[in-house]
Amino acid sequence: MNQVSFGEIDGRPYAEWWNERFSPPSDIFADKRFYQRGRANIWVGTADITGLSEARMDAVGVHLLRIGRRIWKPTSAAIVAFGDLSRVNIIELDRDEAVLFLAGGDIGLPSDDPRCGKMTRGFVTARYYGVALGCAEWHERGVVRSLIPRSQRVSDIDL
Amino acid sequence: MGSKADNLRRYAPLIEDWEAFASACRRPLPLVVWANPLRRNALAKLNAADGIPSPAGANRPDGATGPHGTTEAELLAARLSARGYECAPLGWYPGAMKIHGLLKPGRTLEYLLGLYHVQEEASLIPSLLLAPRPGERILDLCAAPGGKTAQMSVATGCRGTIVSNDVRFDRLRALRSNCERLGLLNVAMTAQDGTAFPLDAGPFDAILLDVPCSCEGNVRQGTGVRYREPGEFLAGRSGLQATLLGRAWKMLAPGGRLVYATCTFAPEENEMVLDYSLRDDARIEPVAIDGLAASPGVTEWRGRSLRDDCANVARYWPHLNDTGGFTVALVRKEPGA
Repeated sequence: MNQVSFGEIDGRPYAEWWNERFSPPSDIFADKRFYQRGRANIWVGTADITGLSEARMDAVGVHLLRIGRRIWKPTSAAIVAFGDLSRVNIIELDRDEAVLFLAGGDIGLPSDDPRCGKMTRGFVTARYYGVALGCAEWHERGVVRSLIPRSQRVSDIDL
Repeated sequence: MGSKADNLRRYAPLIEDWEAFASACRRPLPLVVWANPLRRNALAKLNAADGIPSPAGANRPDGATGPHGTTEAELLAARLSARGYECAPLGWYPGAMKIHGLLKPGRTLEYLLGLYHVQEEASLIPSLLLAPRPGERILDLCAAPGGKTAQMSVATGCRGTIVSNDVRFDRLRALRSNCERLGLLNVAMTAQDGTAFPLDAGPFDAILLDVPCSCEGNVRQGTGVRYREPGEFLAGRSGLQATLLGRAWKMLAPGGRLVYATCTFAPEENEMVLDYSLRDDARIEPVAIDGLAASPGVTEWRGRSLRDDCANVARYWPHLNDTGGFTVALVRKEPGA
């Protein structure tokens, strides 16, 4: 197993990024702690990890962001945990689209679909009746790409 | 080969009604899930979208109410009932219910979104007896796949810290995916050999020690039971169990609680491990759960006398409550220790 230690960090840059992208109520991370693992992974939670540096930590709370590349990416788990409160960069899916999304499929949007106007290019919160399903990517080329991790995709789910 | 229960014949002296026990061992286990209070709002939204009326009026015993004054369990039961599944609440565990007819509980939207967790009924007992409180520092030393950790996390309202450990990487993945799915923010997951867990991580207010065991209590699950000849017992796990208990005890704060649990019947893996490991600074406390029957622990086994307080160990045999089997001890450390 790759052993990279966790450390608690100042989470303001990551909270700010999230708030700017999704405009949730500003206190969404108010009582939370932020942790970094290695160079690229930011986690959020409430646990006190004092004394655990020798304990081969594997995870803490919810994996929030990957920051290893030029563009930061929210995880699907974080979108499910916090995305119900997103107010921008949301795509509300209908039943058939939600089934497709959860199976990892891409969703085509015609350019005159009013939902296109509610997103800017990048990562968006995919929701079903206001409940976050996971992270999606909006390309502005008429496609919403499902970023549900492969291991969590379910085909033909019965909604 | 005889029936499943014949392989457990060595426990006949401990069981009042052998026929009831043998009959229970032949029946499959019912499906039990508990509703996730952290996802109550999501449940309410989905129910409203699908036009599922919320059962009105009922409030939580602690006075807190969800949207429309309903609990997450009532919302979940209403939802699953509307989809044709019969739900029967467990009287003894708030939020948990038996569900009939749901064949793939891990492939529903509700499961994916962490609205419920699937957990065998008897395995709900240890976390309930540990009674975690908000703000406490708690260790679950052999945690995967994480159902008991999840119970403790929601019981604390994600306040405080739960260190959830497992030595096996494959099982740790299940633990991590369950914690993320359920949105458990106060869980730190570690991948240590429990017998060498760093003492610096403590002290802990409470420790759950659900040790690896011979899994005899899973006899109704159709997997996991090592069949053996009647009367034969493989005692190989007892040493590991005692070592884990010794390590956990060192990390327990004075006055702290430790729950030692196995899903097995063998006194060699339960009372005898406690008798071997515990000293004068430990006391096994009596436990009782309203609506759940238990048999007392053994204080003598195969000619050997054990500590008197081993009688306070609770043995949940499968036929007593129509569950899997669990054996649980609540141990308190002397405040001055």
